Amino acid sequence: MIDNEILKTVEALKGLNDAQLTAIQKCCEKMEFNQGQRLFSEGEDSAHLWIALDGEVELRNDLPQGQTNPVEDPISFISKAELFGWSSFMPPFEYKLSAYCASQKCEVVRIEKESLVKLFENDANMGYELMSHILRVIGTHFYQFRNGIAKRWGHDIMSGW
Amino acid sequence: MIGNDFLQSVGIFKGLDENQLATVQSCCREEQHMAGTKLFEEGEPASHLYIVKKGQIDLRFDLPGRPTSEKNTISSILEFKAFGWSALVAPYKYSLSAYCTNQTCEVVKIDQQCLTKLFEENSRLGYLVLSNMARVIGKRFQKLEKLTTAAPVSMVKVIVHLATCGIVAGAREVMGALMEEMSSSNRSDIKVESSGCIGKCPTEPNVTIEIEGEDPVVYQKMDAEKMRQVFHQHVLGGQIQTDFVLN
Repeated sequence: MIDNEILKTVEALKGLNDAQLTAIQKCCEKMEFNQGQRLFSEGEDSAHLWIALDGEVELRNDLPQGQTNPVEDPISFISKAELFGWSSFMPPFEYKLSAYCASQKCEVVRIEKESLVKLFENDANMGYELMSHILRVIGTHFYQFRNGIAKRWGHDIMSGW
Repeated sequence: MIGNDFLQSVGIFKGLDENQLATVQSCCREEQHMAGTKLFEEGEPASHLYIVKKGQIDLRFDLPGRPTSEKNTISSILEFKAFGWSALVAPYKYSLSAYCTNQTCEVVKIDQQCLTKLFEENSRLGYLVLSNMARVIGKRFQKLEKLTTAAPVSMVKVIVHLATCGIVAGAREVMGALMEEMSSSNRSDIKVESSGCIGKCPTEPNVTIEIEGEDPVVYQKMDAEKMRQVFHQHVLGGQIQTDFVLN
């Protein structure tokens, strides 16, 4: 069982009241992983949103050996009280990266997306609050990706290629 | 006046009822821009969300000391599509510049403060629009990823000659069919332009296809069906449709 006090520490959930957090609790499942264990794989159906409670989760690209991302390697680390797995809210509804436990132990919460969407449909205030946060995260990733392309193409133009 | 019919066709307003659409209307204003006009600049506060009503808007990165060019285009936004969604996402600054690339572009401009206020007053409306927006961004993300991983494609331009003689002969229908094919083609790198008469009025509607490294091809007496064929066979498939070529 996840305590409301723990959920309150998550930035994305800070605007929610106790009743809303209690409703979210019901969609949550607490899980533990050891160092190197995979939480989810790139390309898998993104059926869950995740919160890191303790330890560090690494998000990385699992491209085949020798193949590299054309823009940049989108590796990031998720630490305490951060939300990840936001691709569960945008097409093609597949994880864009794989997630691995990077510390000795990782304690995470897995929130079922379908149940969360049902909650949002019944409580639009909660839906609006959380979607604002999710959109901000999605938007930031999209900006970074697009800026990477603009920098690369801009460099090619300036170099006369 | 922007009707509910128009707003209903816009992806980010999918699922909104008549009343919700009517409240969104109250934040909308229409604008017309000429080819080459910059609607907003990269880095500016994102005060408006936009929808293309007519024409094409290119989102481009600007390079210091250089004029803008098609080569700087990251995305081309066609009719009924939204752009400038930085207005709804922190840090609320446009991340690219927007240019009108058709002879005229008609856009619907939605005031960010007005829209945010509506969302706060009606969280269901806010939830629906933001959920739709996450889907729209997801699709654009996918498209951009495909574009950056795909093999480089040649620069392709399709010009519909929309002078009075062309319009009388049916050039608007030709343009309509072309825009429909463009929307479903996933090829935002193809430029669509309108232009004047080429001096051969009896052969209108004329359409010119320009593919980088090849001679331009002018088609004559086009209609919607021929346009679809030329788009698929020539523009996408590289096969010139000699039956319709103007000699």
